Amino acid sequence: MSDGKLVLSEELKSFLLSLPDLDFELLLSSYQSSLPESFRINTLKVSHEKALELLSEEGFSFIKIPWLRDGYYVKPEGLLSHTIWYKLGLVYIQGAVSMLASELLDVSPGHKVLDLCAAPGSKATHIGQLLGGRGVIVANDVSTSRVKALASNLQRCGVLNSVITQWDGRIFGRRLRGYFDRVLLDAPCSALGIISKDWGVGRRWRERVSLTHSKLQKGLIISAYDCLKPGGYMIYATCTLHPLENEEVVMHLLNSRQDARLCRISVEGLNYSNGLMEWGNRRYHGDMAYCIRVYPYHSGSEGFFFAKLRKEVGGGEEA
Amino acid sequence: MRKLSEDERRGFQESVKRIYGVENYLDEYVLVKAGDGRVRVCTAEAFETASILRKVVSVGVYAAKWRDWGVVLTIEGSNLLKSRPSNVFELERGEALMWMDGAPLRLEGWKGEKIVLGSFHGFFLGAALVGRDGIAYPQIPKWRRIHGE
Repeated sequence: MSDGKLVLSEELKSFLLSLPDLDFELLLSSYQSSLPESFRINTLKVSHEKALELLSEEGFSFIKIPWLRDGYYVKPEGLLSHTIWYKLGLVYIQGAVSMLASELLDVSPGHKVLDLCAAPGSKATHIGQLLGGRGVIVANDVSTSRVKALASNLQRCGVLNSVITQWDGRIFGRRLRGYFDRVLLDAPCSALGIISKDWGVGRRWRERVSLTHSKLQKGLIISAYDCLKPGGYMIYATCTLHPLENEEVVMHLLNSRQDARLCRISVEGLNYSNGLMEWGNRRYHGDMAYCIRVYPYHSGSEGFFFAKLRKEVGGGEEA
Repeated sequence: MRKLSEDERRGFQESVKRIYGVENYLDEYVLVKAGDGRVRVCTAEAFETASILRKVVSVGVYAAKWRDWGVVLTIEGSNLLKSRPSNVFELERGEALMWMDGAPLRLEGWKGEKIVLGSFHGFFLGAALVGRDGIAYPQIPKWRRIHGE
């Protein structure tokens, strides 16, 4: 959150008011609130009981995040990252809704998993934890500086079965077609779900920002999907609210790959809206309602979009 | 990125045994040479996957710096030791905070070891080099120090 007054660009206001299921006043109010600090216990290094005991000794208190296995809100805020336990990698500070991405992926020990846009590594380290040392997590990012943060976080969390690569994610599908059991694409986006972290995003946003992201996201989603084995699952996630970066991108995949199927997402303990089946003069696939839109006021945390897709066994490829 | 040869692996494990008193260190994992004496550790499956990929930045985690004079274990490397090392020092909270800040500290009961491990609440904090005066210099990278970066 910034000092002063929240100012949204006129284009952004107009776009937000065009979303059929969004409560604009509640959204404005949540943009003006700081995000609660939350963390995940890294079960690769410590048990829940031990971690909570160690943090309690340091004066922290917690509330379990109802929709997550390993996530907690913590008080007081802003101090956890200065503890020994954080530095040793026993806990990982991560948004309460962001943590959902890896959980929705249904990772099991032994899976080969790809995190295509992995930096700084929040979700890749979480996947590493869910793998429990068996299988492999390939964490990729295109940016040299962001790969450094990714490497530091995988090190701190002790993920022995990790591989870091630095490719343009759009070419992965050509090189590793059908290799992975699970793929996570947490795509670069306009970040309209986390304006409370940076009010400048709301002031600067123009529709062309989302159009540019949408083009990149369409290339990435095809590549991510092509990496999946038949029968495999992928999660497409963004921390933005714009249909051009969400439903439109998923629709592009469904139109391009005839064996892609949307799967219904259901999360207990969290309020959300369903994916849009229409927006403006655009019409989307009937199964788009299987996707979920988590607005910041639903979670009291970040806004996210999640789609879960399955590659059918024995299906064709390009439509 | 290449695996340690059998000879290198044996030499590395012997050095760990000599300094830390622990045998067969990381026996069930693949050890990888990563330049500047760095040894990384990963699972066999991760190594196999990395072998078919291009533009691999790294695999597994950084476990140790291996020099002619000894092996300096990282935090992760030290927590992969399967039995209790001989050169470990249990630290009080204040000492542990100093250690994790990379600050020099004098160790009670030091018996002349050149490399020691710090431990706090059962978790190893990596290795420190010890001077002739008994002052330990914890090898905590800047990005991981309590007041680092």
